Amino acid sequence: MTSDGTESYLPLSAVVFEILLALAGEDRHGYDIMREVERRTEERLSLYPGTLYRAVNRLLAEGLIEELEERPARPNDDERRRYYRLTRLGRNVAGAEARRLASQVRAARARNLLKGSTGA
Amino acid sequence: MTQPSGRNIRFALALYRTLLIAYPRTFRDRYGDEMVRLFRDRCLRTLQERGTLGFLQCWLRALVDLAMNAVLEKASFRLERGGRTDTSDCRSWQNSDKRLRRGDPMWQSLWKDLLFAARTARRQPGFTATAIITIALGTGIASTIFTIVDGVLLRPLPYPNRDRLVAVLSTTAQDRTGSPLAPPFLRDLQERCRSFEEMAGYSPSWGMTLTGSGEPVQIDAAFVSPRLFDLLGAKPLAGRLFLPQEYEPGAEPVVVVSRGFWEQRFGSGVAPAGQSIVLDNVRYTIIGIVSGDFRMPSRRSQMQQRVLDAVLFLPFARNPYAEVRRVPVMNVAARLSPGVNLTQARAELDRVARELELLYPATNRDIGLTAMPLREAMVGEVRRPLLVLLGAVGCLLLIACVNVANLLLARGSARERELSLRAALGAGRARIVRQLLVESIMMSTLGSLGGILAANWGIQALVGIGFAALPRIHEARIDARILAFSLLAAIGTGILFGIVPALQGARTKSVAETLNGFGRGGTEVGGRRVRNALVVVEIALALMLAIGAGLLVRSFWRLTNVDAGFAADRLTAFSITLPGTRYPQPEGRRAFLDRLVASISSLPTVERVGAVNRLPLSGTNTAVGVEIEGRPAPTRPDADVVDRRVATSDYFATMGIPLLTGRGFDVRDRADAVERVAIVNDALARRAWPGENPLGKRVRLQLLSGPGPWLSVVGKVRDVKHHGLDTPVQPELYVPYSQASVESLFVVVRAGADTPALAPSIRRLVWMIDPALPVNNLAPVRDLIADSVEQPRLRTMLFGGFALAAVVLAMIGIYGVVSYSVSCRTRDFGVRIALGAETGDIRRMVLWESLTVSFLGVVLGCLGSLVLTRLLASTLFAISPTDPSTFVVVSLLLVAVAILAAYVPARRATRVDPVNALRFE
Repeated sequence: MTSDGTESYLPLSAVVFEILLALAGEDRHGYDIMREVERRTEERLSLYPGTLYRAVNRLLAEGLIEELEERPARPNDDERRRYYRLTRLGRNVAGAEARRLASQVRAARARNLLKGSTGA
Repeated sequence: MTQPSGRNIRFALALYRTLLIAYPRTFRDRYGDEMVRLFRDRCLRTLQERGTLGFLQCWLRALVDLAMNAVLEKASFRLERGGRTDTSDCRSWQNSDKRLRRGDPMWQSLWKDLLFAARTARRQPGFTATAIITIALGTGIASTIFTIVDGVLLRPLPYPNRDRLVAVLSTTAQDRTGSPLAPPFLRDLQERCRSFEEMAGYSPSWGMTLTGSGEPVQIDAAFVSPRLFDLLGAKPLAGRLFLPQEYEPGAEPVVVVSRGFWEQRFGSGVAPAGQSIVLDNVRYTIIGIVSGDFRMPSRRSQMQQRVLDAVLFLPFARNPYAEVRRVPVMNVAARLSPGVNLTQARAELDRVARELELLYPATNRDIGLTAMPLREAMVGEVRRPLLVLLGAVGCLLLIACVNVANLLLARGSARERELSLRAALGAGRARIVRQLLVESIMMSTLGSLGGILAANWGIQALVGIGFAALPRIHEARIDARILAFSLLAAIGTGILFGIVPALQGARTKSVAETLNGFGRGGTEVGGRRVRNALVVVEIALALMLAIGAGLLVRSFWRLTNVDAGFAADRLTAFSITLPGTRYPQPEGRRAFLDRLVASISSLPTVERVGAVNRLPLSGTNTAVGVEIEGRPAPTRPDADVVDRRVATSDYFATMGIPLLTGRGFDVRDRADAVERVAIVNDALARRAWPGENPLGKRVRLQLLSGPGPWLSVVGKVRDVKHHGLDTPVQPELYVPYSQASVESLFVVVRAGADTPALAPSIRRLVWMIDPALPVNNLAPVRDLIADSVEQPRLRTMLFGGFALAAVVLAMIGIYGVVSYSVSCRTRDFGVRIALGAETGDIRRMVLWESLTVSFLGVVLGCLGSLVLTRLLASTLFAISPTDPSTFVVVSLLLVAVAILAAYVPARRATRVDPVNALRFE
């Protein structure tokens, strides 16, 4: 475990972690984040505006994500949308959370809890 | 995907945006737009993928999400404002309530209550969903009806100085509510009355024909007097309104058009200058477009509806009756002078009416004048039915509340342990009451938000099924007022159904008692009593609605079984108007009709063709004074009035109106015949010559131009219901078309084929003879009958729907209460069975209890109905508002429903195994 202070952010809530995951690949706007989270979780986690933006507000305040000054050029881009990007700190925190989860998964596997699930 | 989705989404968005107010301002400013956009995208996608139901689900979840996060955000926001803006303390963002301990104590605990309530609600999804759906149903229906009542009755008129606007009406001994005035009186009143600073008149046109492009159409126009536009605050959108000289008789023909008409006819881009239209063969220059939202004031009736729908405005001098003192066609509106009240104005109108009586004895004898607020004049007739509807909906809402209260009560008992534990740990009584109230208010608010959405659909649906005919219905829409009403209703109902359970729940006992399970029986008896009382109330309310519905259903059934006096099957009717400008001579009109009748008769399947100027149930009529030979001439125009009909010789046979004595019209009744003839209906014969044979008697009509020629009665026909199935038959006098030519006619066709098959051929035949004639109201005569009972049908349907919902809710209520009380008394039953009670005894005991409860409810409900159904009296036909058989049948029905609802839990009680029941000890 690194000592850059990321640990103090853990554990992350499922919603926060999913948002960070969604932003890890590319910069996205709110609706895009929502779609990405739904795609990844196969709609097991549906974000609604209140939850999403409250989390975004927190993440911005904590410096885990930042709002883009310039928006990426994309076809059909709605210019009023705000885009968000993962900060270095955000990337570190998400990584730390992933490692934390991974260690839990390892422990679960060692105790045969994952038997029957599809090899993950 | 779905048809009305655009409007619903717009509405949902507006509502969502409004609700964002729950968030702290800074948050809202920053993310509000984004959130609305996200919500919109989500809604659109869900609607596309999963249809309306998915959309509803999405909308509900978004609301819950909005509410919960608003609470959380606001809580942390308060904390930060409280001086501890400690952004580095970020670990607990998922745990905001941990931070709350440092906030302002009052708010802190309220937020805590809310959070706790939300968690409790989520833990019991079934209970929460039942409660929320019940409330959504109640508030949805209530908001729908309230929106309509608000739009029609409460919303101020869309005119300037509306508080001082009145309608001036003429009254007679028979007609106290008031009628329009004859146009020349406007001048007399303007000269004599000092109470009004402005006075103007208007009237509908009677079907003007617009020609020029495409098929000729009949179009609704209004004749307006000078100053009317000023009085009602109409402004030109383009061009100008009338100049004073354009109101003079003989002025150049000019017309002002509505925006809708303009855009439909000319598109929106063109300026009106120089455009013209042809109305009844006269070319009118369009001088201006009146602003888009301008609507004429009107009353609900066939003719007045036309004023409301007017798309063209003509100077009043164009009205054919503009100078006729006998024909009351002008609606007069006026604005009271500042400082003058209605009583003073009425006193002055009384005085003026007497002056005019002396001045014009021939036309004004016994005619009074009165004034009433314009709004009252516009909606007077629908006021009572709408208020009754509102009352019914209030009942339904109350029942929904009672049901939820029962649910909460039952759950309250189940939560007794939790609550006493909290009390033991130091929660005050007030704190527990508040906690429970917060829970119920939260649920009612969520329910009412769902209800508002439902109301938005409800209104569209109601306008769709025929409420469009209500005056001012177009002004009904959900806005801040309605939202306020619904939210207030939600909080009100939340408190109403929450307070009893909350107080019950706060009745503190020692922890030891509760945790040991003692004392359970003690509160249980008290709790059961309260719940039973609520069920009594519920049954009483449901019974009142059901009796109201029962009366309406029976009244409607009787109404639709009234014999109209003619055979409507296989009859098709349409109306045509031969404008005097192109058919100036009666001969021309007769030639046209003869050709038309001959050509329609030659169509295959057509059996007979007749024509009449006023078709039964079509909403048209002509009433004229009549003088009977050998009696003194009537002194007043309204003294001896008959409905005058002009009919062709085949009319009676086509309609299936039987001839009772004498003969029908035939070839002898030529235009140039010396003897003028008439046929009377039974009602006229009975009134004019009671007990005598009417054949050979003579009458003459008081026409506009003076007394007409003497007419010999040659036949008597059966009465038909002309004015409505629920209206008594009026005396009627038929004269032959050959001797009294009229411009407007209904042609009736009896054929083997139905209307849609006939319609194209009929239109083609009319246009073969005259391509400039509009064919209007082409429809089966059956539809006329159906239309005439449209309002009662609607009322019955709505009321029936409410009553059904009420009975279902009451049933759920009874079921819930009985099954809960059975489950609480498992031990009791177990002991009884162990001591040898038969299963039948147990079942009887449970059923007997609910029977007592429902009997009490029925007695209360009947008493309430005796008082309240009187309000329905004016809408009932041929049935008394206290009709005993309806009361008995509906009461028995409700008792049966109550027993049914109690039977399932009662059976469960008999299956109690005494060993299991006693093992709890």
